Amino acid sequence: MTTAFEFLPRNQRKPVRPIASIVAVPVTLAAFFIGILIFQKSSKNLELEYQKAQSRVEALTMDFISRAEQKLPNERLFADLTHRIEKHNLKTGARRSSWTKFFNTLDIALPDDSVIIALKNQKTGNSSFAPDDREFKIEIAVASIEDANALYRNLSTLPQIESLNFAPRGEIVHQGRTGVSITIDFRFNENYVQPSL
Amino acid sequence: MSVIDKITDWLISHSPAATLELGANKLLLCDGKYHKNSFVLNNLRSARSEIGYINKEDKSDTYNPVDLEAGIERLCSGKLLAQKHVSIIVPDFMFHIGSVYVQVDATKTGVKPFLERELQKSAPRPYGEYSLKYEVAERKGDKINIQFTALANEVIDVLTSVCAKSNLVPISIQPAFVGLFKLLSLKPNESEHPGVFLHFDMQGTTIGIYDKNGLRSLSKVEIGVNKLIKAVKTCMECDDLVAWRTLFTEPLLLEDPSAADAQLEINSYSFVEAILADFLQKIYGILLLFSSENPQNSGFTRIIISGQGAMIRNIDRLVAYNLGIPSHTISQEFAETDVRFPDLQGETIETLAAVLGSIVLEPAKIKRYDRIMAA
Repeated sequence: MTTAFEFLPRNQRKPVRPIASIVAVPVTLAAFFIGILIFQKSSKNLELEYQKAQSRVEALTMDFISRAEQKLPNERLFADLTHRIEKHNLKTGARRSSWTKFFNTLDIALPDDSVIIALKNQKTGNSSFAPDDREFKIEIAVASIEDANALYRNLSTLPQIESLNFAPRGEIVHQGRTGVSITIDFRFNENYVQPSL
Repeated sequence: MSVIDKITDWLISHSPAATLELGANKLLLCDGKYHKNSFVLNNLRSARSEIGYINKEDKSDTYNPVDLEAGIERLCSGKLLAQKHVSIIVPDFMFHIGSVYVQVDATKTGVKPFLERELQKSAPRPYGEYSLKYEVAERKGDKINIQFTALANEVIDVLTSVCAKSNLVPISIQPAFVGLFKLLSLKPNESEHPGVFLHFDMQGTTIGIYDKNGLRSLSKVEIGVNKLIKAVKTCMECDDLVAWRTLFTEPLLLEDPSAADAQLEINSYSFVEAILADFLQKIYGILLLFSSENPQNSGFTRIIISGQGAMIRNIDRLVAYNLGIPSHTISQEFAETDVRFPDLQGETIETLAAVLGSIVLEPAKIKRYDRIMAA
């Protein structure tokens, strides 16, 4: 009851038309477009600044590379120096070159963490060698059986190792580490050593 | 409903609306809120006029647009900078109120012709000059009761044009009794017997009979505070201010209305005695008529008095004594309700009753408005 007595016709009900909205709409639109323009200009400026910075970094990089290149030693001088050192080495170490070749060969064959416990002369049984003595008896400790196998494989493939006798001796503790002791007898023929060794 | 209408309704229902009561001698504007048994009225302003805002010529059921515009301008302290939504309350005496019983079968083709015929018989203007609203009340046998209210189109035109000039946007025009009834609905009458409200306004008095199912009957008596003031002025040969003081400030009615001899000793009472007697007699007649039409609902629980006339001291005792029904003013009815409003001279819950009701009603809300359209 009583809600029926509304005398203002529906079509005469009008919402408030604020005069401010007449001004607000164009002002808002103008502000929007000005904002877009400012944003576009700002993004262009940023892009230009980025390009400038990028070219500056490239120039600095090139400069660094060229300066680094200048500081590198001259190749010709380097090759000449190497040649002279080799020549000097040959002059100074020619008589002992067989020992150098011998230990270089061992270095190739021995697995990592291997230890040479003893190096003896087969003929005398002690550690003294005459200039022509080439029969060696070496006691080596390796970390495991696998390393022992690897050592045997390496030695057997080398042509300068002749009359190879390979005898594992069992586990030992050397310098606090557990390993496998091996005794190797062989003759070292330096004529088969590759020139690079 | 078109999209534009939906947008319009949404905008209106979500905009704060002020309440503007356009009384015969007083305009009242305020913003208000009702929440959990508490009213808060803000920016309460009133503009009184001794000559009033009603046409002084033969057509006394319309506003004088010039006086009304001047009054609203005074109320708004000059022109409002921004437009403002207002729910307008028009005093009940501006409406032509009536009810008619129509055969149920006859209503199948519509009730409007019956109402127009009734309006033509009883209203001073041709029915075409009215905007007519009605509501179907209870059914009695093969007849239904239809209550109707008509407002002259001229009044609506005056209101819309004056509002447009004053930067106000009307969103509702309703009679005062609508808000008043809504306000009284906050204190539901659980009894089987109906209650009565008397809205003792400046130009006339509205008598409504209501129960828990709604408003059962509505009548008008053309005796208002203005008639009492006029009588006092004539007898005392004084101005409005003195007459006003005589009615509302000085003792007029004794606390014990049965002391007839003592009452007659109050000089000013003799000026209004005849009018008050006529007033009470007419109310008695209306109540008697309702009881005869509704014998199952005879007997009334209480009479609640509102309007400027309720400010006459002890008027409730006078009504209760003469009609034999417990009576009290609306501020007593809402004694437990928190009503806060700026201290404005002369304003009380009695004079603000229609405004408070309109605030509860929120006439701009779309759902309610749809129901109005359906009705």
